[in-house]
Amino acid sequence: MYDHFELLIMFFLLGISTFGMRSLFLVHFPQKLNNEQIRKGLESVPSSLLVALVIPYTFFIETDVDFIRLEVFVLLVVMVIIKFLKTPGLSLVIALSLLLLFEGLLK
Amino acid sequence: MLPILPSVIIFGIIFGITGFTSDLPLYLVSSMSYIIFAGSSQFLILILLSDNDPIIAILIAGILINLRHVFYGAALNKEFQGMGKKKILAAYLLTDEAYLISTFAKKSDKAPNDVKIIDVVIGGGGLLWLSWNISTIIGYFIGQRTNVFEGIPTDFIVAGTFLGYLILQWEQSPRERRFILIIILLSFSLSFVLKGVYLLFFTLTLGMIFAQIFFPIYNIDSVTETD
Repeated sequence: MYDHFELLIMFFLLGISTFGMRSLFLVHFPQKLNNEQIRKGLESVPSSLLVALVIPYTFFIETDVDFIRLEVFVLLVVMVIIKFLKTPGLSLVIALSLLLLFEGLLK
Repeated sequence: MLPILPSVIIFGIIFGITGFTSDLPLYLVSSMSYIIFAGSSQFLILILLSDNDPIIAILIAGILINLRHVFYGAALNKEFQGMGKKKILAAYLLTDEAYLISTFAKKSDKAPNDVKIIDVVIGGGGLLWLSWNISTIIGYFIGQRTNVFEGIPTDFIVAGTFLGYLILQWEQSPRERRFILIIILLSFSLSFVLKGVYLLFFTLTLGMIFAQIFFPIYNIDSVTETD
């Protein structure tokens, strides 16, 4: 269990650093860097992809790559649904609903 | 703006529910949404808290995840010049979605010529902020009142949240598929020696290095708008 005050301090530190990162180049942008190049680089560097990839994969690593789980089955079904619906938000709702349904049926 | 908002609301509700199932009080869960206001790192914090990782390690992982925001400011610097103190508010509201909206506004031929991008970021970002924070609180109460989500592990919810984006990225960006496969191999290899937040930390760091190898900033061809 964590101390709530320490957690709050951590959130503030992360919030301040995030604000700092967002405003860093808004306030002062080095003339040496070409703005259009940075813009194109931003569109190409898959930083969000990195986030999107690491976290689901960590899900498997943290359980010592245990694939024989109800959650994995549900995620496989959701992957097919996402392919057709193309909406991550709705697909997540379906995933959670399916998991609850299967857990209820198996009990 | 409208296509983005429902996803933000759904993820906000899911975040609130996940916050409740992580045994955090409402004030802490909601504080993340208005203090940090960055969905990826907020979800990451919940998963790392459930693993009982050290607070300092969680902070560093959060900063690492949010590093991409530096580039958002760089990309919008030209449009924000001479905008005075409005830049401060815009900087606070500059999330992935707000940046996306600004990109669409710049490319849209329906937008008036005198539209200021900073106003798009503040207006759109403000609406997103409101939606995100309200839906976080609603999600928390849903988790609290219904109790049905208690058995669902936090890592499943987070994995499900980002799996959708990952699959869409795979479908829409063929040139990034090689990068995806490399990251999978990297994570798998590192998992034999690292666990928890350290696995995440090193995978992210090395992944960013690989991203620069495959997608160097100074050698960019035309790119496809995928988000």
